Amino acid sequence: MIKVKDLKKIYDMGTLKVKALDGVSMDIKKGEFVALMGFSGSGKSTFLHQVGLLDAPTSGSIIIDNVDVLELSEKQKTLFRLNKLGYVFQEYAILGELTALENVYLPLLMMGKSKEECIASAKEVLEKVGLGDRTEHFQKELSGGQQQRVAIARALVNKPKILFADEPTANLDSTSSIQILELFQELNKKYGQTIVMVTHEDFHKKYVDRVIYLKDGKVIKSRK
Amino acid sequence: MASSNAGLLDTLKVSFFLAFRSIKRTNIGTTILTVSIISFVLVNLIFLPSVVNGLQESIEEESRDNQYGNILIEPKENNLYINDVSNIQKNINSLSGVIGTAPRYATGTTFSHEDEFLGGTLYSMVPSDEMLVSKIHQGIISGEHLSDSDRGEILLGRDLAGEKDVEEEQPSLKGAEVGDIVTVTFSNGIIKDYRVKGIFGVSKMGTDGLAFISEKEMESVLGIDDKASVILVKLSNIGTEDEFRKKFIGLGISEDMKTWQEKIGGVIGSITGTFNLLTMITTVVSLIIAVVIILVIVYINTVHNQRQIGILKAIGIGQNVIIFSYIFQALFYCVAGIFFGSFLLWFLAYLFTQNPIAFPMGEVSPIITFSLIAKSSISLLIISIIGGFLPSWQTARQSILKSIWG
Repeated sequence: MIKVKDLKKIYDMGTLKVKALDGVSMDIKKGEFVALMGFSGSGKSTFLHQVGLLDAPTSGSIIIDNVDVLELSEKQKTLFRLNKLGYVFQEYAILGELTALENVYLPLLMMGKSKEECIASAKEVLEKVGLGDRTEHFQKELSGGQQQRVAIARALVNKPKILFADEPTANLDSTSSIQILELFQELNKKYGQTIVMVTHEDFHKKYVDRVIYLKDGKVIKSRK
Repeated sequence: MASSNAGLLDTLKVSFFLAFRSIKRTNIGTTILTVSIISFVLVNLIFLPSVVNGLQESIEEESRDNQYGNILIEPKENNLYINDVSNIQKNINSLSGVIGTAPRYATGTTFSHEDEFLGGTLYSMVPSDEMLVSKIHQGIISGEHLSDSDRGEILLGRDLAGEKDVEEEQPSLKGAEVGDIVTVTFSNGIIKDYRVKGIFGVSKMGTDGLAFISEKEMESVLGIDDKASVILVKLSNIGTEDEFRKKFIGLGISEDMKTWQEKIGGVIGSITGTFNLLTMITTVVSLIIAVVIILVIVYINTVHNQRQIGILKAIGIGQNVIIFSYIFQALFYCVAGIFFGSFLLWFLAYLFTQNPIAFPMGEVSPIITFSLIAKSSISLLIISIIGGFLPSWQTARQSILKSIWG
């Protein structure tokens, strides 16, 4: 599903060049639930941003679903993100002016689906993440865990090939964190959803298929 | 490969969706303030030009109704008078589309009333003809209009009659009233007393400074027959002047003929030229104010929503969608401003029609034309597109990571 080869990301800070990624290579299979772990500054989030097409690497190659994504134009990358990828950010990145339902069906609307289809699909996904009774609520009317579940529902509604999650439980209490991780696990086991998650919590390991450890911008270990 | 399923229609649909939700859930006070400002800008853009329109219309009406008719016939070059006037009138009046003709004979005189002496031009008129051509008979403010057979009676304009003990800009007879005697000294030396039969007030643009006696009276005093200084021709339709001038030439009329537009061209040109300059300055200033307001509002909005813009881009919402959504919001404020501004203008137009603005040349009501509203509205719409585009484009082109995490 994801083939990354010799991926480098170097930040040019004038006289100083910071190697955030220093030749990372890895394969992630379809249906795998992978955790990226490492200390702060190890490059795990930077890696996620590159494979998630949120940023452009300095060199290397990324093949997702047999597409050399670094060859795509900005417009094609936008469409690729819309059609094939889903994101869950550390912060509850939902739009405050939209209800939970509107937040979730927005990507479908962009894909050209009818409003009826959008609403039906969004309700279905919100049910799946346990928010069937919160569809008309705004961000400020939802708890942190609920907001994150809205973000997960939005990431899933377009049936993405890969779900990227960047420390999705960092701002949640332990109960909400476990609920989110169990949800991810269920999505992975039940629907075969490929998930790449950045985390630094040791107890998250038990929910994933494989843990890839990074240090100083390099993969140091990959363990099932 | 990603399917290219985000067409223009989807782009606009999502942009509209985002814009609509944003407007719906924005602070109502901000919306009211923004819409009010745009409304005032529209009023500012339209009001002064509408007064200029009103002024122009007043001058044109006055010139057509009282001074020149639609076509003014004047003596040929080097001639002092038009001869064979009744024959010319008969020929012209026979044409369909001609309402009437009115000859006037002008002579230099001195008017005196009580202790006031005043030099001026005295005109003759054929009242029955004049009533078909001018509106002087409708403007009698005291006494009566002249009749064709009147002798020894004079009709004075309001400005010429003047008012007692009032300091006026133009010389007058200081309060001549109906029944008073005005002594007229003609250029041939004849001095004759005339009883004021009526006083009229139609326009401050010259006509109210005139004095008339009947044609028969003028002919008897000056010993002339069938002569005129000018003949005013009134037509049924404005805009047919050139066509009728050709017809008059076809009838063998060889006098000079000028349309009312030609007669007032210079006057209108200089007045509207000055006002147009003022209008242009206020228009430019108003549009700059409008663009700055919209830019600031959208800029604050985009900066406030920078993270949201980053999230939208991250989940696959294109840059164009984001830019269009802000343009739609700016257009909404603009259209609402135009709507309420038009209502405000309608109210002002009503107010100033009931209470016209006093100009030195008379009272003027603003005339708000569709083209004036259309031009100003289009200018505002263009401005709002620019005001919506620039800040949103600047924010939306930032990288996703910078937008989300700063």
